[in-house]
Amino acid sequence: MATLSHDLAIEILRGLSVKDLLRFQCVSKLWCSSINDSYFIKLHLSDSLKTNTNHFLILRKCGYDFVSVNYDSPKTTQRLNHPLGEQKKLLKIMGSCNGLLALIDDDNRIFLWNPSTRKSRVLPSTEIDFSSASSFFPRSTYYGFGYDPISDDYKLVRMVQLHGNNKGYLHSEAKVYSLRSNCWRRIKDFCFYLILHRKFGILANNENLDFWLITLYIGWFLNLPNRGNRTLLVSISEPRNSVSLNCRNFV
Amino acid sequence: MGSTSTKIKLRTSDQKVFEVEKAVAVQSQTIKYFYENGSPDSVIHVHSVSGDILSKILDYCKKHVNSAAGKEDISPEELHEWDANFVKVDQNTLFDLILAANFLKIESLLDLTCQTVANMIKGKRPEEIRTTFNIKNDYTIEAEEAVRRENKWAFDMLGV
Repeated sequence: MATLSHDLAIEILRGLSVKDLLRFQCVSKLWCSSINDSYFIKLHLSDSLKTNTNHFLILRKCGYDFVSVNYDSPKTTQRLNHPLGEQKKLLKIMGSCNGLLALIDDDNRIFLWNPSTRKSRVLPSTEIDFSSASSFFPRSTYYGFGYDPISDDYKLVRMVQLHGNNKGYLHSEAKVYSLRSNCWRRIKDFCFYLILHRKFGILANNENLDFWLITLYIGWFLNLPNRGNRTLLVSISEPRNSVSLNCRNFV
Repeated sequence: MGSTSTKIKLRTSDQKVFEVEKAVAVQSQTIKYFYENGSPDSVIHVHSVSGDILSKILDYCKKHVNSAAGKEDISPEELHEWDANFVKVDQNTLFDLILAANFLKIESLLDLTCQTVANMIKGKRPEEIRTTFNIKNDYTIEAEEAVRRENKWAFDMLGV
């Protein structure tokens, strides 16, 4: 009987679903460590993207119940338990990227959830650094979630704006969370006044926009009050050594 | 004489000799390397592949070369179906094909055979996988139970 080497077994594992892989961690310690190896995980993700496999549509009902639909067999739906195991707690989706969802609950707890593995991670909380008695002011918060291929990291951007009683009064704060370092970092504030219908950032494709030379940008559509109703694409770019905010006409 | 009629001689582990059209034989990166770096008339030893398996693999290479060169009028769907039938073999032959495709460096055949095994083991239990791959369970009962508990949902809906 022919026996395959471990390397060849790994080649075979590349073609399996996440559910099978989670189960096959029990086969042996070597299989467990290979399945959890970051190189293998990336390979599996890029295979899945290339071949359109392991593709799920996550539907939500009543604000807290999630259902997963398999693209390959749409009749196979599965109810997913609440990511943090709490029943009937409202959740808002802030963005998704490579199968990860960024969510926020009623208590302003932000967390990342991987519905394929059913694992989640609560992000450390971060205060808003405004010095004034800000709680009286109307506040808007905007999020954007995406993958930064240069630093091989998932990042969540949070922008908070406070609008004062005086016309023209504006405070803003921008922070970036890095999954790799598991911490928030404040970046240059955003100087425009944002009015958004959609409050979540959309990760745009950064490969076709090489003139920006950025590692990550997350766009929001916004209107600038003093410049008419022009829709702009706002991006946060983060080259290795500096952080800057770009604002470009959206075409 | 055109290069298409050039033949390469291959000798298998059970000492069978195959005379193969160059275009077909060089689908294997390993054979290509030996051919280009050795004397053109010498016999290339594919010492870890048996005659039966090499014969099957050459069928595969021939089909794909002919289809790519337009020598055979076959649609991508038909070729796909041909591939599907090609891997309808017992597990032992399938593993031999994987080992040979890996040794001979025929990437598309390695992908095809590996995906076939992946489809075969989908939904199986870890115990069955150990048997299929001849793997010794090196977990203690407690350690295995801990890994199992952490991913309990992945064991749902399995055939008992």
